[in-house]
Amino acid sequence: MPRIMIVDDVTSIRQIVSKVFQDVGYQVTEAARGEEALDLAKIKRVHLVITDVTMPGMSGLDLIKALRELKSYRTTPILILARDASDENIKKAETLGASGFIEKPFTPERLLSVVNQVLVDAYVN
Amino acid sequence: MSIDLKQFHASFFSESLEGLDAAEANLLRLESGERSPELLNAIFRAIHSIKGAAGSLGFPEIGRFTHEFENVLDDLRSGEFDPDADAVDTMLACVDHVRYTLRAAREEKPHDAGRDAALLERLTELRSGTVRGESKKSPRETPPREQGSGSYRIRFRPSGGFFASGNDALKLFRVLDGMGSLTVRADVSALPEAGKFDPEQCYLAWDLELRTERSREEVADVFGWVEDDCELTLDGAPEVKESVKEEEKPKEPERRRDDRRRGDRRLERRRTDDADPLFATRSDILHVGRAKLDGLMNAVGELVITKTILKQIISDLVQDGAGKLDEALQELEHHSRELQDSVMAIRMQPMSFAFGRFPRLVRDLCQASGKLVQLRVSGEASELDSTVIEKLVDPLTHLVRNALDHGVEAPAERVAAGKLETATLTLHAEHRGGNIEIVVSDDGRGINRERVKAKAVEQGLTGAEETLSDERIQELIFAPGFSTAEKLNELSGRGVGLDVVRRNVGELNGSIKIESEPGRGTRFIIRLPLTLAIVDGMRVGVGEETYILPLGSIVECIRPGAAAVRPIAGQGHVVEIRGEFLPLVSLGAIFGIEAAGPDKGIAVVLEADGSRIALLVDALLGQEQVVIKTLEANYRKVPCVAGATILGEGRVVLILDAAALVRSAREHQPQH
Repeated sequence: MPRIMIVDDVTSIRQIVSKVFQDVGYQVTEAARGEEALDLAKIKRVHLVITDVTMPGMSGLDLIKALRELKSYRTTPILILARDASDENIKKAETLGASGFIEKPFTPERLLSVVNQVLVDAYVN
Repeated sequence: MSIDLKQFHASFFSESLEGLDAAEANLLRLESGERSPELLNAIFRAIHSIKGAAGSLGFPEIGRFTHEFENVLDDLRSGEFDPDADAVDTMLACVDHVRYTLRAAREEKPHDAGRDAALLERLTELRSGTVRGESKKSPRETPPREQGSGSYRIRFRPSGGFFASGNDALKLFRVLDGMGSLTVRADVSALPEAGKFDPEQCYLAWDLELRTERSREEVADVFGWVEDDCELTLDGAPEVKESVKEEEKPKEPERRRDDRRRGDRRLERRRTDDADPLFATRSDILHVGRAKLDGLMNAVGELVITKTILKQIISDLVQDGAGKLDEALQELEHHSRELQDSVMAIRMQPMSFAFGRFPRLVRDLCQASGKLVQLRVSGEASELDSTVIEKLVDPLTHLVRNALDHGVEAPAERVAAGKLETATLTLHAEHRGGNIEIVVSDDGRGINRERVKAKAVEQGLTGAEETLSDERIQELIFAPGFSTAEKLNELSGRGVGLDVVRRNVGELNGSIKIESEPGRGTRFIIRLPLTLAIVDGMRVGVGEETYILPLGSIVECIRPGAAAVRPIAGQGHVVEIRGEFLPLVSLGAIFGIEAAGPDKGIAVVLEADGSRIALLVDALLGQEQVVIKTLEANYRKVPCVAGATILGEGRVVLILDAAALVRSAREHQPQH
């Protein structure tokens, strides 16, 4: 089963993401800060990372950059939570190696479909 | 998929309300002239977090409003407008509104769209004062900027799986539309017949014409994310005709990528500066429902009781303190104490939760009264049981209002008295032993003893010829209904006296006292136990009965002897202790129990609210930590009783309310 990491300083967002994926049997790791996510990544491999951008301390963009420097996370799909399709962070994240974005607010259905698509692209195709 | 979003609401509300408090505090710092990117970022982040979560959790109205608010804060952050007094006012009003709507949503009340609209208008005004705001709102009227003005023709043909990968053409068009004037023509020629139509495939292509002052690169950037998922041709001024088709891509993006990297490095440097601990959200903190904690606390309480019972049984069973059993028991005692401490620690919150609201209150009161006050807060990291903190907010608010109304003079009066125009109001908290001391002090005019006395005489509380000690003055100020009348019509005059403050503090097993110097200021000092759940108590015996006295209010215990006890005609007794006369109150008499005579028992000197009495008991039976069970929840409030507890031998005994005992003794006895 896929393992997913959600990084967001907002508890309710982490909770909802966890619930959505746990309900379909995925394993979910939560991190409330970029630093925490990076620490976890060093000891644990996940198949996909979803990260918020605007966080205190290490931002989502910094996290992407740091994750890409880890050998085991060089190609792991990373999705950012973006304000909308015009969010300038999307392009910044892409340059740093992110694989896509999920627009906030999202519905559970949308979240699942985007993530599944990315997982299929990365691991099946 | 059906997920009940309600299960995430509790953490959303508590975290969001916390975020709003932080935003408010930071807006006030902004208002006081503080300027830093971190400050603006922190305000932005708070609202951003609420927006992001609100939409996903089924609060679209909150999402929409905070979205607009966030946009304004984004403008503010990028320096598009100056946070002058009006702007801060508007933003504070928005914070209030979001707080209000969150609370309404929590109570499942309908959303107030009218208030939304009014504030959105004010927000728009803020933005329209800005260059960027103007260009955004009326792009068509804005004269094109010199560089890069012109029209682009864009041919956009998404791949069949375009939608499946989570892209949305409409969003792209909206972004383009925001850049200038956009004409969109859909090419539907590829649409299959109705029967062969796959609803998840994209059959459409579009021809776009965009008139904008933005550079070519900016326009191309809009499609940056979907580049791989479409065929794209971008023609038009000002650069030479150049297409960004699949085959030609490698060269272009690489150049851009380098540019961005440089940009990002700058950004990173700024970000590291952001790591200001003041702005760190409490993300490493777990939000746990109060009910769960109370449950845990109750369980620990029962454990402590069981342990005490066990100890009792063992000491009855084994007369000569049998080694191993005793050791094991001590071990148990040690562990349960540890468990109890860590559960208590969970319930602790820093005083900043209570102090946090005062910058706003002081600001609003100053605006209303024209007084100038600087608020100083210290010791806000001191921790206190969260239930105590909650109950402390009201009395503290009352004291702060009181200080601003009665203590602090108008600027002119202060200058005339040779003081600084701006008064200082201090809130301070600090741990002292097992207690916390909270001080509200001002450097205002101090308490006018003459006026207090005049008022007290007028209200029949005291005789005209009586000389009033400091203690007596304090008692009068805290007396129910006491108020220096000419103040009543001033801004706080809510007809509630300081007696309410004393009662509130008393309910928390605390005490309050006043220190005041004419012309120099007034200090209110509140002392509270750190928790309401467990108290260190002294077991005292009267006749056959046992009671618990909170250890914190006991000053000393002495055996006065017959010589020190003096009867007062019709008023009971006083006891002389090292030259000081204290009212001697017999605990037996209060509860109607036959007890030893006044000269035979032990006098326990209690202090509360700055006054002392001697409480006469038959015997001291030892110290014990007891778990407080409220009587009110199970029975009703009983005067002079703070609660009940269960002793080791399983007996229920009453815990006495020291402050109430002192008060009632003082009220029923004349001054010495």
